[in-house]
Amino acid sequence: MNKNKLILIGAIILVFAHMGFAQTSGTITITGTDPDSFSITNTSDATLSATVVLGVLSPATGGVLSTGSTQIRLRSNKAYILNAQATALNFTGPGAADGGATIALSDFGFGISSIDATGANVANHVGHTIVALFNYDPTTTAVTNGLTPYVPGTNGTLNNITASTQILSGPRISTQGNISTDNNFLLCTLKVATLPQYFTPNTSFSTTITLTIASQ
Amino acid sequence: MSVRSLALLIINLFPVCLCAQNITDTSNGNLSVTVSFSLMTPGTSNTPTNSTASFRIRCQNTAGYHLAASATCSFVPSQPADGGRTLDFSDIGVGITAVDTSKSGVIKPRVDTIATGFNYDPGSITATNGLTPYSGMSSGQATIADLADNPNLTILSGPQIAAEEGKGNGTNYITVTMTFAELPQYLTSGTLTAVVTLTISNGT
Repeated sequence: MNKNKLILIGAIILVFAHMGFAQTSGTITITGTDPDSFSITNTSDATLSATVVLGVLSPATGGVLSTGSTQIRLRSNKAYILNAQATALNFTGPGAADGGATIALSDFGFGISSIDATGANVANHVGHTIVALFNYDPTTTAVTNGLTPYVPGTNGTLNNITASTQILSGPRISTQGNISTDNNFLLCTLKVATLPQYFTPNTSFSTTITLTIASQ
Repeated sequence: MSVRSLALLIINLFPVCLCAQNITDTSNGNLSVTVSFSLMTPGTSNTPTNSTASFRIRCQNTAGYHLAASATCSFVPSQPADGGRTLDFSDIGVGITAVDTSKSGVIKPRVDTIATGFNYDPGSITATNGLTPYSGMSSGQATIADLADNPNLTILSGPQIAAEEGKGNGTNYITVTMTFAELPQYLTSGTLTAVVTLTISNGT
């Protein structure tokens, strides 16, 4: 190989070496995941932790129920079910039953009295279904003879949710937006009621209802 | 022309023509960066989630440089939309949030110009009512959709950066930072992948 060829080959090698270094483009890859998302909040879009105070349940004449209610906001990006579960009644300062009846979970009517799916960013305004047993307003049930008015199998009570029990289901709720969006939720009104009676006395009682929203 | 002259011409000409600019990551390697938003779980904040990518550009061409961007995007839903909205590429804001020209070898004074719509920080835009806050490139808030719809869009340009462009030189580059942001929402679940391709070329 003569000298001129060596020079030319050397020049070409240098050129290709430079070309090899040339790096005029690159890539940025953006990745992310929109997960299945569900939430339950209070009407301030904060964690739901509501207390319903029924007060002192002194028996009286007639059929006036002691009532309470709470509203919750449900959001989801896919079809959902809402479950509820009540703990056993916790009594403090219980008196002796002495042959009488003690208030029980079955004495508390429990139902969903209304749902509102009218928000502009609600994906499905219809199709949200309350389980029949809980599809009523327990605060308006007629009382007969001063006794608990809730009929087993017809009127839902807290005794029907001692295990995690579906009370509502439906299609996707939210079109878009996040937990602070003011029109992408299902507003659900839950009510509870009981008739004050001559039950065994106590200082106080309580039960906690846990609501859980999950994918269908 | 002698072989020797031809060789010298080749050596002197091609580096200028073919290698007048380069773009690298911040370790001087090939630019192939992944920006991950991870799980975009909706919350109560109106501040978008953001992530950044920085890279180095070099240019010894006396005509300066243009930095162009394109984007290809895909979103694979994991369920039907069921009446709701699915992520759109206009939900992801993109801007150039820093152009660092402080290296000693960078020619100064200089003016590097960020294109209209990209001169903002999408991570600092406050959403209203938990909804996507970006109005698009023409309104000063560019999104990935603008890059997908306008391939090879110039997003940054400027004069010659340094006298030479060798990647071993620690003082001859500009560091550019791009910020991407998105407000997590109750959008259809699924997986996003967007690839932004950046290309640097001379200013002529």
